[in-house]
Amino acid sequence: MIGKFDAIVVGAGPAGSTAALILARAGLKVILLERGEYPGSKNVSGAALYGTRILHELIPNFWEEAPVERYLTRRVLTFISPQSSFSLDFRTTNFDQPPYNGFTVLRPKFDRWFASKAQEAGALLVPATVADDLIWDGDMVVGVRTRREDGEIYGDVVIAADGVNSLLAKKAGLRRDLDARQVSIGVKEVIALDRKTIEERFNLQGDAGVTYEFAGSVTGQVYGGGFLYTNSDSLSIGIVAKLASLVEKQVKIYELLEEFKSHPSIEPLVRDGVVKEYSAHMVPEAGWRMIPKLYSNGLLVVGDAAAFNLHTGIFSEGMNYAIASAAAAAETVKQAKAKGDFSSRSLSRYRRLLERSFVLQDLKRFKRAPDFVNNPRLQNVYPITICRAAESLFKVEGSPRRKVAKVVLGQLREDNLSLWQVLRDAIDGGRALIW
Amino acid sequence: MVIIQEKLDLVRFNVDKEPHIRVNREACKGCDVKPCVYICPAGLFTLSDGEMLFSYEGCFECGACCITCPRDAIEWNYPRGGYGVCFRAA
Amino acid sequence: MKIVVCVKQVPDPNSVDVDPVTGAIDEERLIYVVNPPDRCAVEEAVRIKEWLGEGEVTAITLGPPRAEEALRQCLAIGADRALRLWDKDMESLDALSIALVLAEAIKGMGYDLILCGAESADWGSGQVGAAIAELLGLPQVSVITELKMGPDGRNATVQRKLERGEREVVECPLPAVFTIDASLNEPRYPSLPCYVEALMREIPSIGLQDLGVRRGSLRIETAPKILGISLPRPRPKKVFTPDSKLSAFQRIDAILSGGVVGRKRILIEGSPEKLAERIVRFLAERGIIGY
Ligand SMILES: Cc1cc2nc3c(=O)[nH]c(=O)nc-3n(C[C@H](O)[C@H](O)[C@H](O)COP(=O)(O)OP(=O)(O)OC[C@H]3O[C@@H](n4cnc5c(N)ncnc54)[C@H](O)[C@@H]3O)c2cc1C
Ligand code: SF4
Ligand code: SF4
Repeated sequence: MIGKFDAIVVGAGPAGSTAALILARAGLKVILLERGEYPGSKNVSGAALYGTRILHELIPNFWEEAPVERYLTRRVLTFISPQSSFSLDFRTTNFDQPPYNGFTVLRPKFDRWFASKAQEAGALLVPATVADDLIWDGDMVVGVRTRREDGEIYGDVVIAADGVNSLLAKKAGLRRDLDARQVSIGVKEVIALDRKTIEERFNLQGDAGVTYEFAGSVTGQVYGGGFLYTNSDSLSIGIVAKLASLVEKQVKIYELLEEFKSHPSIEPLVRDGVVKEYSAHMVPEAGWRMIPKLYSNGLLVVGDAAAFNLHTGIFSEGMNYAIASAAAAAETVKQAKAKGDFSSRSLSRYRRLLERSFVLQDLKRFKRAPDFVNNPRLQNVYPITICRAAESLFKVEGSPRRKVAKVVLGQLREDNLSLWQVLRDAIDGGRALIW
Repeated sequence: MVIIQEKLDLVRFNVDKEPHIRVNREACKGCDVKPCVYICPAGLFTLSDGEMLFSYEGCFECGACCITCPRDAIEWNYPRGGYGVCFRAA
Repeated sequence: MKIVVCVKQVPDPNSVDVDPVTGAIDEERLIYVVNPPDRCAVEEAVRIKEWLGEGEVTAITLGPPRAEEALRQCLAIGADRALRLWDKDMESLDALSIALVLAEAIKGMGYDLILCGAESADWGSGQVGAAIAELLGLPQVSVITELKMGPDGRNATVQRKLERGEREVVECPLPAVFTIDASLNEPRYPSLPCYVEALMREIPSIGLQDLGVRRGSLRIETAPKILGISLPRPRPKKVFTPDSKLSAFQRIDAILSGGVVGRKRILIEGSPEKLAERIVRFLAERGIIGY
């Protein structure tokens, strides 16, 4: 058996490395377990890393040493119909200077780096080791059992940062098995393309980058969306779709990805690129309603394991919540250590910290987002309506152009939609995503 | 048609000798929807003359098959630490 | 019993992506592992130690700082000590010079048995083990698929892999150098305590000066370089047309055999020195080597 630790962190994704880093810096004896050969080897994201304030606080100017790809100054939301597309383009110039608003990253590189920072702070990183179960003393979690001979590890507290499939949260009875209606699956390809071509095609300067998110006919009848992010010398392109919807429509997600790549508004962007890697991962998506119980005696659940993921159906944001929730958990553990009390009562502070942070506030605010995207009109009707309306707006035919409102109303009528319905959806959507 | 094997060839797998996922193919016989065939992003579930074939070697360990199987036919686990899929760029 | 195992960190062949057009290797995507037969060599050394109930296993490597990782894997399997040799320019040594540095280090630490992998997954030259044996004046048995220690640890019976599936059993006095085939054993999956201890160990690294190796005695910049990698292209097949002067029967026979003529073989026998001399003479006579 190996010695006892103050804290056992399971999973070296952004959540686990954050917790291990903070606790090791506070002088606690921390072990960080990771089942992959190296941290990041099992992990997939788009990946746009937002909410970098906490990371900047932990590792000032982290972007100077971290393997980040491009800082993000533009975010484009595109509605696509089979032939055309219509984009909302958000740009800001304040984001092109430190501290940046967000970066694109590649997880195998980023996670490896981030875990090495926890290691430098004094945490013991043990890769290639899977935690299979919790060890209990009565109703108190006192350690984890790993799949190696003499694999028991004991500690005052276990932090489950083991991702969307969290076996530990399940074993602790904090949550039930995942339900196909609560999760989406994402597939992604990294496509190598030289820097110059990327900068030309996406109209970028230097290390600036852009993220494109797509709604509409990308996924046909399946609920989901697409994304295309720029890295230094590659593109990340992928599809996220609801599991239940794929099953219902009997569609294979990698076929959707192929169709997406050949869509007339995407193909010119990825042309001549060489596919480097294909990957897949699940996303917890039902947001607010899926969040399990977050702690029990001697155990805290953070990041994707706790379903802290803002998934709108089109894009997924979870790394920022993973980092923030793990920071809250680490603060809680520091206090618990000072008091020598790791009971559920003492750890309940975690939830209060989360309520005060953007983690639970955002998820509560956006709790309707999943429903909004699962609205069949948003998925298939509106993008076509918007694209058609835009088309007739931009078409130069010699006749006087009609006012925007008229064009849209005319198109709605043509598509058999009532204004009332549209307004209701708009309010729903607004509640979910904006208000 | 997408040839999924070509995509899997881009990925590094450190394949363990023992499978980490086992499928009870008897149960599959009575399963009419067969969601695993659509859901697996690695296309590892295939039908051959009505028989379900499964290979674990190209698995992304995503967990999707397990939660969509209506007949609890999939005995799902992670591979041993250090084995299985190993992304390099993702 | 002191067992020294030479290990090498190599790119996992599964991680080698070759650009189909330029033939260039994508270095950034390489993942380094312990050369598989070297891992088996460490496992075997640890098993011998466990079987004898005493002994010390040292894993040494010549490699850059990232090779520490490979040594940790050896410690996790059960090696007692690990040592990394490294210095400026070492990445461009050829097999003979690598063996020279390793042999010098091994001389310094004392040994009863030296194990190496039979071949490395990257270069596959299979020369290092033989050269170490030569430099230390030891007998060498190559490509071992089975190893049985004599009860007193003074000799060993080993099985070698020959061509076409043949096997040879050899008894060899120790100390000796054995090169290990990856089929010899299945390396263990280390226990958690062993693994964690290995992760926490300091791994010493020493340079040429500490080893007492003169830079001048090494052949730097002689390492073979990869110029490009390509898939073998099928050679255009020539249809064989037999000599029209042959009889019909002979012509049919020639067509059926595709024009392949049986190879000429000469069998020579004698002591190793005699054999080597004969081979060299044979090659020189045909102008294949200068002599
Ligand atoms: C296709 C896709 C695109 C996405 N895009 C974005 C994006 O653009 N921006 C964004 O912010 N988020 C994005 N997300 C979400 C984001 O990936 C997750 O929210 C984030 O990774 C959660 O971090 P985590 O540390 O909680 O979990 P993970 O990153 O999943 O880390 C869990 C870690 O635990 C390890 N582990 C699991 N079980 C065990 C065990 N039993 N023993 C030992 N180790 C174990 C795993 O190997 C892994 O390293 C995306 C997700 C997907 C699938
Ligand atoms: S879903 Fe389950 S029961 Fe149905 S075919 Fe697939 S594995 Fe078998
Ligand atoms: S875990 Fe995912 S990749 Fe593996 S078999 Fe199941 S669905 Fe396919």
